[in-house]
Amino acid sequence: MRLTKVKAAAAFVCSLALFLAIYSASKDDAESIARVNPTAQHSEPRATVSSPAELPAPVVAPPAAVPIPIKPLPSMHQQLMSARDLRVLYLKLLQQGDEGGGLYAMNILMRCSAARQRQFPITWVPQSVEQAQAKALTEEQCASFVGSELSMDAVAALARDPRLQNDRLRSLLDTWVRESQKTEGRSTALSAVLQARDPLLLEQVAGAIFSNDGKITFDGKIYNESYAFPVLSSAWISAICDGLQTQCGQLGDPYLMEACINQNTCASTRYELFASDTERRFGKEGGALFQAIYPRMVEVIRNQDVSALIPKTIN
Amino acid sequence: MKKFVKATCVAIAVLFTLSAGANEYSLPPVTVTGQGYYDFGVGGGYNPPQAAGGGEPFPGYFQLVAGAERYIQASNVRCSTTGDSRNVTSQSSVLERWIAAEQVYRRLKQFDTFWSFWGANNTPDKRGWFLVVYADGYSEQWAVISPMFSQVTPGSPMPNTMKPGSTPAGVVAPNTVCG
Repeated sequence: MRLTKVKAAAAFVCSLALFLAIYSASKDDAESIARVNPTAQHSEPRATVSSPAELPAPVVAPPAAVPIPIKPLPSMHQQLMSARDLRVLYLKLLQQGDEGGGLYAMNILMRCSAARQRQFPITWVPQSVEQAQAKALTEEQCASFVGSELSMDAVAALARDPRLQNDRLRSLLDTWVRESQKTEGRSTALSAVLQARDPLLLEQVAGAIFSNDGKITFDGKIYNESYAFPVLSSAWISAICDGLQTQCGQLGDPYLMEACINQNTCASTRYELFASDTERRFGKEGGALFQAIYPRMVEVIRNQDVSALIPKTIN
Repeated sequence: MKKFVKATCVAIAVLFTLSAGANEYSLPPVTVTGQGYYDFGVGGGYNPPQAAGGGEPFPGYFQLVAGAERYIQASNVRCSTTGDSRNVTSQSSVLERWIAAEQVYRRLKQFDTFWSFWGANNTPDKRGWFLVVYADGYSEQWAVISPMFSQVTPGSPMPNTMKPGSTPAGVVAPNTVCG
């Protein structure tokens, strides 16, 4: 009996290992198979709805603003944050293709497409006034679009729209993606992205800027912790607001709205939201990392300091 | 070492014996949705078995194997995207790859309930990125921000993560499951 159990266990472990190995060989990415642990059944119930009171509070306040001259931000982002009807803004942005309207227009289509696809259970009821408001606002913002305008085929067609081929922000993003593969071009392309001082453009490079030859790096350090990459990405998204001193992080900010709708986590700033989220997801270590790197990320964005994102002297 | 080789042989036999039939009865069949992408039968309402079936080392083993296979399939643009995105290859523009990646991510999210039951720690939201397999078999990593957000992955793939497939770059190769 005992031998049978051992055999069964060995067969399972080996078959799973082999399965991973096969996938690794074909895709060189065994990690894309979720590591499973049969003993962990029911150990991690999926978060559904939690009240803000259950979330850990941010440990420290955001860093104080450094008094340096700030150039005016592109008005497109301000409009994106405050728009009640995103279709109206979308049509307007199409006329501003050269100025970055294409990137913003695509963001609107993808956001509204995802919002339209979201399905709530029949029994769903808002858990708070804030959650109900966030849901109503998000639905109102996208209500003017007809279904066909929000298909991913429509998004793909927008990518080919000749009016948007000379989009300044898209061009910067394309250049970054192309040059990020190279040691020399990476710094120049990233400098151009930082100097654009556009919140939406900076969001597009979140994550990728910390990936260097398979290592996760920031400000001269290599991070080996399993949670480091999502924590760095979250901190970057948060730091954009303080780094550019823009009005993101208020009503209309899609990150705040999404968190409020999906999990009833209704924060008033991105900093508050992501600081709590990283600690909830990755424990005190993850929360501590967020707090440790956040001020430096704000500096990097504010001062357009590309050196922290180029691994010249990895320790 | 001998034991390892022996165990591996057993594992091969078990894997091929079990996985061959796993898809047939352990999860709902893979179907094509009205929108054109594939439904992998692991969305809301995943109901794990309470007792081991014949040949299973533990309850739900067949489902686990089938789910892992389908997760790989869902990473493929041939299975998880519609229209022109089904033909996006490693040679397509960044924007086209981004749009395809966004669709793949939405399909991978269907597996959240499935993986949460099995205690998986390597889901896209937990590690901060996911893999997209393009129509030419090349694969690339894309970042995600947080599971709290049901939308829009960042528009930049992870640098230097493009890996070749089994066909020449840019040549569309039909997927064995999704055509």
